[in-house]
Amino acid sequence: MVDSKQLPEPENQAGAAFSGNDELIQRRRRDFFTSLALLLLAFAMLAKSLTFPMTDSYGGVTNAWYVSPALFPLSIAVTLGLVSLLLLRRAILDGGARRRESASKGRSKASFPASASCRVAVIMAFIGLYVYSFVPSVDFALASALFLFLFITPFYIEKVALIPLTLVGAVIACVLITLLSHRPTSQQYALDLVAIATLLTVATIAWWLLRHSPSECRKLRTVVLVSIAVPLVLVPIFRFFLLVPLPVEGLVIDTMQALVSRLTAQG
Amino acid sequence: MDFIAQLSVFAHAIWQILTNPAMVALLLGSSFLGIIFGALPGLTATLGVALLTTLTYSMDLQTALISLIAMYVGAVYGGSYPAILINIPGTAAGAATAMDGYPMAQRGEGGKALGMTTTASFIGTLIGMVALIALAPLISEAALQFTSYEFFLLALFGIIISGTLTSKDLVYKGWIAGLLGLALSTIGRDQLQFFPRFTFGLPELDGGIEVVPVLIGAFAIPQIIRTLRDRVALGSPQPVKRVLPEFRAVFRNLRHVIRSAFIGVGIGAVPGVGEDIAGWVSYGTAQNSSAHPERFGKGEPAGLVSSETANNACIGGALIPLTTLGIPGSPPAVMLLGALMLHGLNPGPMIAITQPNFLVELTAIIALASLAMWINGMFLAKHVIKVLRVPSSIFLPIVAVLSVIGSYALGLSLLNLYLMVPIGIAAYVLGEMDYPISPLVIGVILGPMADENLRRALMVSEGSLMGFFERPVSLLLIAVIVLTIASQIPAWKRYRSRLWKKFRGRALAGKPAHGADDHQ
Repeated sequence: MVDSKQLPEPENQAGAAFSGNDELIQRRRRDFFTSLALLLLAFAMLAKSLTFPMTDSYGGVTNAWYVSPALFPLSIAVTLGLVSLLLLRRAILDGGARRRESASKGRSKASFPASASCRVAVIMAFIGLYVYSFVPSVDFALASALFLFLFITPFYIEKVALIPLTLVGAVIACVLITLLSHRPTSQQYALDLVAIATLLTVATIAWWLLRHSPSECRKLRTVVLVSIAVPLVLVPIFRFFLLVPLPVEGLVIDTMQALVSRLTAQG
Repeated sequence: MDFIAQLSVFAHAIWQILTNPAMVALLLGSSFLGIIFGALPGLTATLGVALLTTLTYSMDLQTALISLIAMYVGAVYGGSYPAILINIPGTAAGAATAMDGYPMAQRGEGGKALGMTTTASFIGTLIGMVALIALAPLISEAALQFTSYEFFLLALFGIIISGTLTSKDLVYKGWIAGLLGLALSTIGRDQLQFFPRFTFGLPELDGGIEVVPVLIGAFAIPQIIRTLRDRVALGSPQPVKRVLPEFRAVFRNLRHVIRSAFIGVGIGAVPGVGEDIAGWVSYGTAQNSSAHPERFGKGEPAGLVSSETANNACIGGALIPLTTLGIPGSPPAVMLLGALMLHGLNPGPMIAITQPNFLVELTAIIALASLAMWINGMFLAKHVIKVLRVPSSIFLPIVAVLSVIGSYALGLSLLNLYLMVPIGIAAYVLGEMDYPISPLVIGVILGPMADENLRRALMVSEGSLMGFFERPVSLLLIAVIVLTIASQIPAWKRYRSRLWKKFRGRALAGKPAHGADDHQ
């Protein structure tokens, strides 16, 4: 990154003015599209609210417009529409609706997996896969361990090759989990075993990729340790101390449960 | 309740907590956890309170409050550690602290700076607490006269003012965020006729969207994405030798401490406006009123003390509208309101009747939480500094797991999780486009209050809007809302500045004449 303090004064100011103006146009351009989306949302809300009972009777109660369940959503939809129009007007006045010309000029183009937008997409993908695929299907402790390992590895070790590796690992695990969860299987913990297999495979490949760098191998060991330790601490707190049943209790939690039962029986 | 009775309840609450070792451990532990949350860049007081709420689910109200308030006070103070030692504020509230704290640490006065912030934060929290106990009963009593008209307008005012004051870009964006929050609050069966609104045939949505998963999603996910996206790398902390209370140094800046505490309380009491604004306003005021403004930004203790006193005094201020009107004063207070509702307590004017000791007990807890923060700050500062070496790429994924398990644990519903992610992503996208998030969550919380009271008010007046203009408080609120909105309209701004110029011109023209009269 260029240190702005090192630039000569006039050039620095001109650059700042250019980038400030460019930034404003880019922001207004985003505002232009957002306001259109918000207008659409306001319109959809308005249309849906108009289907709610207004003055007709509902549940045996004769309605008046001022007690209608539509009143508040309608007010919100109309106000949202009006404010979105104001935002649209400001975006157009500030040049946000103009055809894009040099917005991308001068913007640094980082390589695919290292760019900021790619990192954002990867983070969203990991969180999405964890919530929508791992948590509802796999033992919570295993789902969390797998998520932590896949998520921490590329961001902590900061090696570009690890982003596609962990992402592909997560997607393959997701596909296998989806396929297996729709098929009857004799193996009780089949999905948990998929998670363990994914974790071991990705860890092995990562270790193989990093084998020439002792510092990175050390970091990988830390990731493995954290990924295993955190669920082993969190799950007993929630399951056995706060008595919260976890979304899926499989291989690990059943084993913990058996252990706790044995300990209490002995105690 | 008279003063003696209140004092007795206060002393009893303090005694009850201090004689219970488990409570003391919880108080100190939560405060320490709060300091760590505040100290780690990427984690905030709001997120800390949100995640801790899930752990307090099975506790009784008093125990939960001890834990949550200690976390809140600790986290607001904890933001000063990285601000002073590595020039990266741990929370937005600590940003002004970095201005003078880091130069002090660079001069080898890191320990002194930490000692001063610890004592200043302690004093700030206590002044905020005094303001809470002094003002809340008065507001509560006045609020008992409120009817549906006033409650609807109060909810509207809360959303509009927080949208207006928290917008970094166009003010419309704050209002849009508030409206989106209100829109989210309409999901589920309405409270008067139980008609399902925007449930899309899903029975799980009949009860509406749960507040806590929305809060966790809106605050945790954007924070995780932003910090990991920007690869926030922490520098090595400046060395710290000893941390002492620095009473003498704080006493030398007493006028800054007292003024900043009042600024903090005042800003805290404004719905949705939090500790960060209090810190900056107080810092700016201290600089403007100083005989040596040029020293600010170069390690001036007055700057450090001002921002830290104000952001901790803001806590008491933020709890004033929360306890008396059910309107949270700051983002962490929004979360605290969610936690109180989870424990079956609905803050508002009726709380003085349904739970007459609540306010005094809360005050006692704040006093103990500030003491716990001071003790932790004095004796465990060096351990907190060690935490600054933990990379964000390790602790943020752990925060993601905590957010997931926390959101699930509250309703034991996967739907909460499924909603948390899109809300979090939407909050991130909105945040990137300079939409503030506080009005959105305030909208989600105040939406049901606004909806129900609007319809009740109209029911009373049989559909006539005149009811809103017939009550003095209601009329005052309408005037404030209209002025707040009008103050953002360019035509009004132009008219106001023209009026001001005309007024000044007349005043200036009149001056010599008066002078001449005087001479005569």
